[in-house]
Amino acid sequence: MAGWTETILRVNLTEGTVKKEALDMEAAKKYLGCRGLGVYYYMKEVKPGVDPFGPENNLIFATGVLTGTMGSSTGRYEVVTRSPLNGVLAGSNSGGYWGPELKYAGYDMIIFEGQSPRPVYLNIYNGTAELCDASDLWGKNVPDTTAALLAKHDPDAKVACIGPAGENRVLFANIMNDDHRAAGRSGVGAVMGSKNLKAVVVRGTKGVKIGDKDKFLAAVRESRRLLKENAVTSGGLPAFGTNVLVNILNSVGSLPTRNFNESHFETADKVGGESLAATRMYKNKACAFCSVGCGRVAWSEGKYAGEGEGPEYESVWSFGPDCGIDDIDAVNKANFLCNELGIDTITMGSTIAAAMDLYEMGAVSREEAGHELKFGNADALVDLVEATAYRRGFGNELAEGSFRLGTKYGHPEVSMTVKKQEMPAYDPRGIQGIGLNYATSNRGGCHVRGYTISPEILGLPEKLDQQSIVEKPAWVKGFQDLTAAVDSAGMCLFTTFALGAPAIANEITGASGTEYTGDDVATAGERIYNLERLYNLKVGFTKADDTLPQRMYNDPISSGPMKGNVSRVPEMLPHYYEARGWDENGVPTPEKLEALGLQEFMAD
Amino acid sequence: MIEITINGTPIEVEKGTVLLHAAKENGVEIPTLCNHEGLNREGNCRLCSVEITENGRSKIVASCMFPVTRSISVETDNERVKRARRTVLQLLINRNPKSPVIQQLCSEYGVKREERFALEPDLCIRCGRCVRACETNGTKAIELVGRGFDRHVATPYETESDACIGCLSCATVCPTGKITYDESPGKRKIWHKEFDVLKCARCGIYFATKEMLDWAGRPENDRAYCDHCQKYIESVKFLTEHEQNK
Amino acid sequence: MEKILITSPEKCIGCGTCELACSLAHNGECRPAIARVNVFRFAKGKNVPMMCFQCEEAACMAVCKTKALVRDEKTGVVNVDADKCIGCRMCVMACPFGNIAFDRVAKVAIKCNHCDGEPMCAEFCPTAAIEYVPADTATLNRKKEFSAKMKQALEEVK
Repeated sequence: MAGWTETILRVNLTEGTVKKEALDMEAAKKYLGCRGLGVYYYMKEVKPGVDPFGPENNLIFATGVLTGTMGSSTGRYEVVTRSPLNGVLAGSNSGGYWGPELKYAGYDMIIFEGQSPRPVYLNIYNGTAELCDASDLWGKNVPDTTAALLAKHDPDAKVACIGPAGENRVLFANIMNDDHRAAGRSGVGAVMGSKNLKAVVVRGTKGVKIGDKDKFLAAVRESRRLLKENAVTSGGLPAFGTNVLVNILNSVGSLPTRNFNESHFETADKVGGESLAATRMYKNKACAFCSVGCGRVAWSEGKYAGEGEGPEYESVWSFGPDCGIDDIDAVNKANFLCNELGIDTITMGSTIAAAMDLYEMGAVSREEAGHELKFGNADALVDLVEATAYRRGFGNELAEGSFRLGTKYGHPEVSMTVKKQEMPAYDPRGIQGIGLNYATSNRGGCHVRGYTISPEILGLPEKLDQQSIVEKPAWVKGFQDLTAAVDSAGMCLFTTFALGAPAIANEITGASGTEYTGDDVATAGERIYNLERLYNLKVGFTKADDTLPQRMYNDPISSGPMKGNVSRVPEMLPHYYEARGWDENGVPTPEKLEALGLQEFMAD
Repeated sequence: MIEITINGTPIEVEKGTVLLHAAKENGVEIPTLCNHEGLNREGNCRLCSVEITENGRSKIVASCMFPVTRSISVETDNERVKRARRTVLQLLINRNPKSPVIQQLCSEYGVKREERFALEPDLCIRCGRCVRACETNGTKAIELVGRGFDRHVATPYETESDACIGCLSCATVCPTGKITYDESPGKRKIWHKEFDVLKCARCGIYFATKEMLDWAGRPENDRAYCDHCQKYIESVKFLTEHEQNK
Repeated sequence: MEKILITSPEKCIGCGTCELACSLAHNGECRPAIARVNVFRFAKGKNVPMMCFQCEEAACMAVCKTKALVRDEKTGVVNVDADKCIGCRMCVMACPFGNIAFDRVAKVAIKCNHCDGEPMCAEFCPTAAIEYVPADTATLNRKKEFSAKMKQALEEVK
């Protein structure tokens, strides 16, 4: 089928072998690629509940049907593996240029199995793929690793690698590609580190075939027109990046502050996208084939001097308001360090915020923390990021994430996590739909798997009341399903501000030469979402895990426009299950699974 | 303009237009092996034979060598033309049984190899495209030598030629795939001669022989990169100049 | 009036859509490696799109012995007549900018031809870093200033 290379690479790190295989085209058609295809392959091949750091945990890098085509923002790939942070089936999506390059080399997906006895990296040049010794790279950070590999191989190659955090199995280590883009959440970098796999270098000079050029071009023209006419994708995002949200969320009283003790940060503007663009930004930058260009090429000054890309809104929030810090240089620096060391910024900042909470309540001492770890301590923030990557001192505690940190120090309530993964930058007490999404997200606390902020705050495709709950279960389901399809096809989530299922279906139809309707796309998304849910159920998650931290129910927002509100997830949850066709325990019914073509996963 | 008819359809052509081109411009394809639009025409293969009729008299001509100067009528695909082409193809398939392009044509024209006339198999059809390409390029490293059955393409004295630059245009224009060459990292071997192939200083691909760069007049101090990386170098220069201008 | 492609690197966000638009237009596939236009990405967010300048005194044309490279006098574009190309690659050797390449599969020289008057790179560039504009004095001067080496090369040819 056009759009695909129809070939995958299977690398057994234990044996040191690299094999080419035909892609299962039935699965490709059904699951669209990236997230869906990775989850399908993982569930077919790996038994539930394996040790995330064990050799039996596969690590999959998958592209989608649109990755590397001229569709909308199609520079994406997904890493699928079992998360060491929370045991879910992790899927971490990343942009940049690496994903398309893998396709140009002639592969839709790489499956890593086993565990290498020594540090290695995989070098791919079109039809040639070999494991190479990485002992001289082990210990190097992301930019140094990338530079060393590009000096050794084709300088036009693309590199995905881990930094020290991944090597040291920091539970929220990420995989970085093209220096600055992250497969960020759920600790996929730690799994890569556990496999002794330092990097994947790819250079490809082949092409991706297009099934129906005229149809495809018509679809792309239409999508690009919609993206151009949309205020978010052609205005806010290129100008201020995702960080445009700091002031917006603060103004609607839903910017979690000081570890969710508050929801309004007095000096938020100092770290917002407008300030960044005006004082610390060289230019905006696009991932492959993206017309939006939300990336920031930025710097930091003074004692925190540095340079890099980002920070994204979530990173600014976690290092800024959530830690009570309004120093743009410290926030930028912490973000740059995370990229260089290979750490997920959301969990990092949120874990430091939890540690600050512990410190303020006296549960962690100055000696233990190595800092006077009060909210607002920027020096501590920057130092602890590095300490975490190397598991140095208190960093060794932080490296386990806030759930284990809170538990260890006797205060699990400071951990702002869902299914042990930290919630992002939208207060679920202030915005009800996103709370339901957090609670039900298949990978735990996560905003990008059902971004209801789009209707609840930005008014796209229509404005919903932040506090209403009646219509939210259906919206959450709709966004979760569409997002699963978009993630899987290889498009960026941000296209959904402007594009709906029909536009996405048209792009896939043109690229693949196989007819997809908007309904097909939505159904594929629902299928993928249900399949992920099945994995989580198989490894022991239950209805009881579809919940938020108690603070979200018990401690009303203390100030600002949303003062007095708590999350109403428990009220929405039954309606959500109903909308999904799941039983009262959140288990997909046999009828639902059959309707989605998931019979093969039904047993046990 | 001169009015002629091709397969019964009247058309106008400019005086002097070669019949093969006149036909092609009017959507009538005539098969050919030795003709190449970038090279002189020699009428070697005769596959482009057509029948022309003028004043009631008709004859078979090679359309690639026939300039239209008078009003004529042309048949490009009648039985007589086909017979002429079959004869050409019969001789070719007897000598060149393994050439895919000849096999294809023979199957279209219903020609089978005659074992009793079969000569030692050879892919070369003596069309001279390669020789003309080399001549046109000005290098003149190869020529058609020998007569009759022994006629073949060679470098002078069948040994390595100083003139050859390793550009591979002979192999590119060869219609049957007869002309081959060996390529290994950093080396290219063709016509008894081994060339060093230069490695791009940036990406490391092997991109050209020194002799090719010499022949094209590329300055000695500007030949470190393949075309793609040269583009990259230009973009670096642009940036540097841009910075200076600021 | 003739039209030309001009680039404004300061507007380029490095997305590379032009490369795919180009390869899709010419080769029917999405393949940056065969694109006539390339984007090079540098530190601090700097990006430079590069494509054929359609030089007034084109080195590629000068070196081509079969007249496979011909200028369309109406548009000023140097086109490849694939039927006439014998694959000698002298044009690739001669272009000082790397703006003409050889397609080893199709066995023909490949270069930018403005997509015969509807350049897809310009159409799909999201930031107008590549524009297809009338060749008036101002735009021509911008094009000429793009590369000092181009001017130098033109002097040498003259």
